[in-house]
Amino acid sequence: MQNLKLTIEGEWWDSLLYKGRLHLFGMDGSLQSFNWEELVKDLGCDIGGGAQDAFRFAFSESNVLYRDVLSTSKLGEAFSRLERDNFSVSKKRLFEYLVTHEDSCFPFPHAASSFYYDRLIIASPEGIHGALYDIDNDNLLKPSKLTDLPSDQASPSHYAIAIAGGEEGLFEIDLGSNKDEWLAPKNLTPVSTRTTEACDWMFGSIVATSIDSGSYFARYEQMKIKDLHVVSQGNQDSRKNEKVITVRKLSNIEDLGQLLPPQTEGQRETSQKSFIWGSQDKFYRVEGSSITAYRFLRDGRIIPAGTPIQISHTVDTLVSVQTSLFGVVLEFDEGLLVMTSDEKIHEVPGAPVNWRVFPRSKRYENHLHVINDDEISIYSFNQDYEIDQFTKRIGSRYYRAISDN
Amino acid sequence: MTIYEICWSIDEKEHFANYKPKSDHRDNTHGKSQWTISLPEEVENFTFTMENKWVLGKWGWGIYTDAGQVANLGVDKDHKTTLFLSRFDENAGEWHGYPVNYKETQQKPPSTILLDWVNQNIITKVQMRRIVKSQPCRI
Repeated sequence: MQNLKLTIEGEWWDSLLYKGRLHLFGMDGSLQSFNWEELVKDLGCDIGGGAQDAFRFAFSESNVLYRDVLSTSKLGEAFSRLERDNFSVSKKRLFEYLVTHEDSCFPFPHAASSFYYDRLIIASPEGIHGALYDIDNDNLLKPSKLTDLPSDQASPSHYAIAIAGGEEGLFEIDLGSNKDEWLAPKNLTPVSTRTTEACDWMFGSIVATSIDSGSYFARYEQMKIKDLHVVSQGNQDSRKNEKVITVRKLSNIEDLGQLLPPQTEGQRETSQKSFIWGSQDKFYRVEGSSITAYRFLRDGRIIPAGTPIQISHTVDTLVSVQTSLFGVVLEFDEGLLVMTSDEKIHEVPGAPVNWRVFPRSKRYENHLHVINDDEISIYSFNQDYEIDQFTKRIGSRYYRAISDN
Repeated sequence: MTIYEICWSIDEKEHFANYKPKSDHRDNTHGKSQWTISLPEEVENFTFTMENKWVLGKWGWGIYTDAGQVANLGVDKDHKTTLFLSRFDENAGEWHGYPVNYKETQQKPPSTILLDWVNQNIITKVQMRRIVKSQPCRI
């Protein structure tokens, strides 16, 4: 199934998809939400010829195949009937689906945003803010400040928020088991004083990255014991009536440069600059102009996942990286490089105003959102369902219980 | 070093400040960021900051442009990493300034100033995002 692209007019700073709503932060400091499900459905209807199924999979419900709601053959047929792969929506059309439009009440411009169990979490140089999302009324309640630590990123998972605090280091906020208290001011747990400009989760552990200062791995043990500091409780939905508590305990801080040594050329180690990051079940090393993947196994071992893959850019111009199920996205000075899980490379030219993926969502894990000066482009990468999840080396492996949203 | 009396006007009202360049930001002092633009350009950078009200309390933030493009004005404490932003501090009525790295918490310009730079087309929204997220922003 081919990749699709949907472009929407407007001047945006950030985007979020959550529970069928597209949330767009405007350059004017506003936060607007739109009925995304309806928009996608209507666009499919307009095109006709079975496009509804293709659009449903591509833009609003990427897990329909994993959940066996749609058959591969029916969906393949729907995609094959599409006469083009590039679609657009005017601002006027978008606003026919407007649900809310308000001042965001969060610091602007922020560094990162995410939804976590109906809480919108915003990281900015002014700290971490959170607001409860009243789903019934499509309304965000007044934000509160969890901490005033200037933050480059906040990544919620495992009933905790990992915070990249720049030169201050890596921190964690324990959200605790009582959701009513999640948005109260929190104590920060320092994890490391090493410079951390971005962070991501690898099961219950955290990988912390800095392009200039190098990356490291905060390795946690997860145990079912009762007398330690409780950080998370696993997936609440599946354990609602159980009293089993999963405890995370920091066991070690490991330098990733040492943990994943450079590739060797014969007996000689290369001395090229490299950058390492990780997400879910894999680490990746960009070195010179190649990417090498490593599997992070649940028992804690790390093993190489094949030979390096060549790319057309070098690590010297790398700006940021993100990982999703469909593959990895690397931002270089002048544009994005997407390496999908079938190991094909897609270039998105031009430095974007902002961009993001949704690695922990259930329905949008195939999305790449790229914001430019006067539009947002939603790329849908649709090859991952055909990839063997056990052997794939680019992009995270699909786990049925992976999703938070 | 010489104290410069700086005068600028905002809305036809005249303002004054004393600016005293510090020698340790020009003499390769270990652990101090260094200006690479000339002293008159440093003073002009301060004046430009004041004229534009890029000030929050006792701190001001400057950005250097050359032929309409953002350009480097100094190097970081390692004397290698190039920098294009400056900060000015006021103490007892006297200002001084130095090149800064936006990746350091206290040296990142406040959001209101970043937005003004975008509105004046001094930096792009891409550059603003990279500064806010402490990402590499090679000019």
